[in-house]
Amino acid sequence: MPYMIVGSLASNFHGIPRSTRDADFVVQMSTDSLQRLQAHLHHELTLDRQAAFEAVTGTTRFLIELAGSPFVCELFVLSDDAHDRERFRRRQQARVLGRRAYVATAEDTVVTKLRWAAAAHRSKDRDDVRHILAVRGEGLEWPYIERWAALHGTTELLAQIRSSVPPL
Amino acid sequence: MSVLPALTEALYREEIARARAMDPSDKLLEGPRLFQRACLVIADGIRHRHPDFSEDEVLAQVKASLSRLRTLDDERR
Repeated sequence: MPYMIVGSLASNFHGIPRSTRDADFVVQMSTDSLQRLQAHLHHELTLDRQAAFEAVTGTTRFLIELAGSPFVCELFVLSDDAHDRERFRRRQQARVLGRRAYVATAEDTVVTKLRWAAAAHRSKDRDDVRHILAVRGEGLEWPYIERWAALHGTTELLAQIRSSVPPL
Repeated sequence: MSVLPALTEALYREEIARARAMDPSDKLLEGPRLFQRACLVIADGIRHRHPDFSEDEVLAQVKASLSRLRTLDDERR
């Protein structure tokens, strides 16, 4: 099943690591693929088939719980949102625990986190953006970030966060 | 004049330098590791307040606390 790692795991990958209580994935699937997914899950993993709606990108979310642990996986079904599609197309390959994995790029993690910071006013999203800008610095593809920020109405927020990064 | 902003910035620079020196995959895995450590501390606190709790009850309490946080996050979405 095509997927990519997003959320705080992706911002940890590109920025400064922080504690996270869930692992977020965007998956390319239709809702009827759930049964197949459930059949392939490890016996200690439970798929909660109760979908939740996520308003910012208009996507559907499912939870996977691990027995005996409060850590959860969140599966976000790839939506028709233009940036959701674009970041999935641009996902990058990485080696995690010796396996091939797909992670959202630093630029797309910034664009998404800016959107969340603006819509949900979560300080952790703002911090994650700051950390990625600080760690990746001028190596980022700025015209790409600025283009999406303009489309999402987050240009001002991006400028604020960018100006808070100390010169290195 | 307060030295706090300068100290905060110096510490942040150190954090950035450390993050730049780390393997990105290790940084990714640091998230769940830190979370696990935080859960152990939360569980210790629950055991301290409720010495009569079984391990299942402690875990249920940890999950309930995190579930409340998730609900708060969901309400913002």
